[in-house]
Amino acid sequence: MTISTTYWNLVTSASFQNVAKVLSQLNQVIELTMIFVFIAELIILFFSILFIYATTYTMLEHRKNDLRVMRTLGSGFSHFLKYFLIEVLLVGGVAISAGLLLGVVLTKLMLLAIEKVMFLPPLDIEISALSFLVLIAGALLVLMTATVLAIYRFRPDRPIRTRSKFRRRFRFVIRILAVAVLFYGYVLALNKQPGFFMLFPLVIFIGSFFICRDVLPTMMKLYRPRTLSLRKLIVSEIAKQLRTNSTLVALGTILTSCALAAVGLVFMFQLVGLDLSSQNQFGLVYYEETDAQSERLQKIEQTMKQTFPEKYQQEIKLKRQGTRYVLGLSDYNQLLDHLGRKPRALKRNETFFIPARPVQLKEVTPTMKQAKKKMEQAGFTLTSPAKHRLLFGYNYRIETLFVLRDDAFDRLAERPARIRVFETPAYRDYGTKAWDDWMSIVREIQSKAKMTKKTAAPYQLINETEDELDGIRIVRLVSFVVILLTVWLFVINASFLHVWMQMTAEQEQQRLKTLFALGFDRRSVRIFLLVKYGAVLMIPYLISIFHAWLLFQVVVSEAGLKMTPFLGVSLMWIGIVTCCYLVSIFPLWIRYPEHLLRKSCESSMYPIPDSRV
Amino acid sequence: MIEVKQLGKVYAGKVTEQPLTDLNFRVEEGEMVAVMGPSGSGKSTLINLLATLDQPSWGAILMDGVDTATFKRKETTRFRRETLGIIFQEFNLLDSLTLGENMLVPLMLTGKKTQQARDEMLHLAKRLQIDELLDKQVDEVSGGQRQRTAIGRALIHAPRLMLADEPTGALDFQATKHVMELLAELNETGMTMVIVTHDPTVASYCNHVLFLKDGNIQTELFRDEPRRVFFQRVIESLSLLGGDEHQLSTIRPT
Repeated sequence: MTISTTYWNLVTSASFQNVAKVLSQLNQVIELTMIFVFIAELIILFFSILFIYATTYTMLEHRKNDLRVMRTLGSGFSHFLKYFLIEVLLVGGVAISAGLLLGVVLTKLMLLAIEKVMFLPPLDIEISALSFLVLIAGALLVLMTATVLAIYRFRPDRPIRTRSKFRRRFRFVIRILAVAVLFYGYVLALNKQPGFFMLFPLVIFIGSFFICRDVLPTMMKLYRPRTLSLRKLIVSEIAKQLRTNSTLVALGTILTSCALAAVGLVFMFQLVGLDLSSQNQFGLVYYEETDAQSERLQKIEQTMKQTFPEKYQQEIKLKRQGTRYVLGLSDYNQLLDHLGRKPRALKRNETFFIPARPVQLKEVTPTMKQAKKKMEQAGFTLTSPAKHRLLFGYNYRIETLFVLRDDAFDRLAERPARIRVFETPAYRDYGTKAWDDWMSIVREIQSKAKMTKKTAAPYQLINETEDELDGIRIVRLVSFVVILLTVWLFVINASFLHVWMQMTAEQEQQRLKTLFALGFDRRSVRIFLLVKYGAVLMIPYLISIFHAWLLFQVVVSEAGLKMTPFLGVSLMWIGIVTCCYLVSIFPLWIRYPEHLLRKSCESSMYPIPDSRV
Repeated sequence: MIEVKQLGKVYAGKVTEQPLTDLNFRVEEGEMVAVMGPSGSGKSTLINLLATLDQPSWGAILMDGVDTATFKRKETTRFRRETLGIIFQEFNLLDSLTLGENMLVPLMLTGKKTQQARDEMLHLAKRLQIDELLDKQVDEVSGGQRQRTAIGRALIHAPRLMLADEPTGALDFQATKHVMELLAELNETGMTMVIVTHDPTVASYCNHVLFLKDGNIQTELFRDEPRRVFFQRVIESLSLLGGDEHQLSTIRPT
């Protein structure tokens, strides 16, 4: 509830939405982040239902006998429903209220964090009564749905029905289809086809289910040691747990896969720049509004020439009318010629528009309309805009950009500004010496920027279509959101596993009692528990890693990059996330078996009250 | 073999329960003892205490003259592994193993050679009429078949002491008779048995019956007559267990 409230407050907060909207116009990564956040919200919603369902079901299990007595005394399904709904609503009401309160506090904290992370002025938190009511209604709906589902499934003394032939056949066909989809997904992923993006959610769900329910138990069954041993007992137990909990495992792996893939991508963005979908080829663009070349530009030019003598450089003159800029046709054509594209021709007083911001590649914005009108008012005739998908907006000041014939450009009275573009190593050079040299230049340039002051930096790095400050803001925002979501997804995953462990605690204590009675010593039982829970917690995680890595390599390939140089990066990413995951499951993995071990010997008669951790 | 002295157990919780108050009895080596009594009389608690799966709140259980409370952890494990065979009321089979593997677990712990262990298991399984089911999983067989497997698991390593909590609860009349004959036969080889039961037929196979009520022994019977006659005495004692204690004392053997 706390997490939902925070998201909802952010989604309905006008100031936060403004920030997101502005940034999404600057860079496509923000859009991807928004999609990721939306998916995460759906996952959280889905898991909330599952969570309440599991809790209610456990509660019903514990009161099975009461319910049977009620049934014997003549209670019907509606009585159970009423009886439990009232209870759940009371408990849920308290939980919702506490969640709302904490959610508001958390929203404020998040906004404070976002301000800090993105160097923004204070953001207001506006929470309307209507948005609160919608949130409460949504929470109640989720609560009721999950409770009714649990009660309906539990229904004591429900007659057992045999599955019809049609149902069995239908399930069989579904299984065949699912396996076909899974293998098709794997083929797409291994051939690095973009179609994998569409199939990814299905692939992780079916894949986790299939691997846990069929592949691993079958492989474990093949393990037939000559003598029956503790190892055999552990292997059989793991196979059984994976098989019986395959749905839970599949759901858990969706959480971890999403989190892992997102963290991996952000990690890569951080390392190699931002917008992988951008087609711009000039890595460094330097903007000056002076007639003479500055000392700083001279220094950069010299460094770039020395380090990359074969790389292309070009100076482009611009003239500025507010935020509307124009450049000469010869400069433009020279640039296009270098990029291997056809040059354009213009008649006298003709002009055409070239995209300066990502949003302009997709739609005609009011700013564009206004700028075009002004160009027409200035006596120019607009011809068809540039058809290429390249961005020419090299500076935060440039909102719109037009190309004029050189004579028309010279006739303009405005003082010329200059842009110097430097071709640099690109993502595909990652891992080479050229890339390392380029990164040291980047670091040198970045170290001169004063990020805390809202001053314009005169240079622009690697595909960032705005000034450096905004670029860094974007990186920080994306990282912040993704890391926060990952932590939350891990927390939800761990909570869910905790509920599952509580549900199975009684059964587990009975099993331990048997092991002790048969003469297993404490050490063997401890090993049994640690290995079993370790496997049950880690196998789904490894399946997640596998699927997240498939997604990661398709994304990298889609960006026109080779995977080999990124292997090191991906290993580092897996290492970092594995550490985080281990931290999230550590209490369950270590403490829970110890607790069971302690309680199973001390109070074998009454395991239920003591089984709760 | 077993001497129980002033044994008591209290479960402290929201409601304090005292299933055993002051229990005193002896079980001689090679004896077959039945423990009977109404639900909540402390029978299962007694089995757990005798199996060292639980600790008494006061009093002592002496196994061959040694207080089980003084057992070190390793000694407890060895006692359970070598001396003890236990049949639980709920069978407590390990559901990740097949029936055959379940029966083999005690032999695995004693480190018996595989082939020999398998031969012994097969022999016992035949006697329990589950030899056709050894490769089945626990959830693929009936309650009675599970119970017979649990009995097989408790007997396979020929323990000196066998504790059974309702060993025939899920069996029909014929199967009960079959199992009890097997247990009686094993008892004749010197195996000591303590069997918790509600079934007078099962008790009639034993040579010593303890009747528990409210955590104490209300009465005990020793068998020195044919089984059918002893069965009648057990029935009489049971019918009087909820009635006048003076009447009970009249049937208490001297």
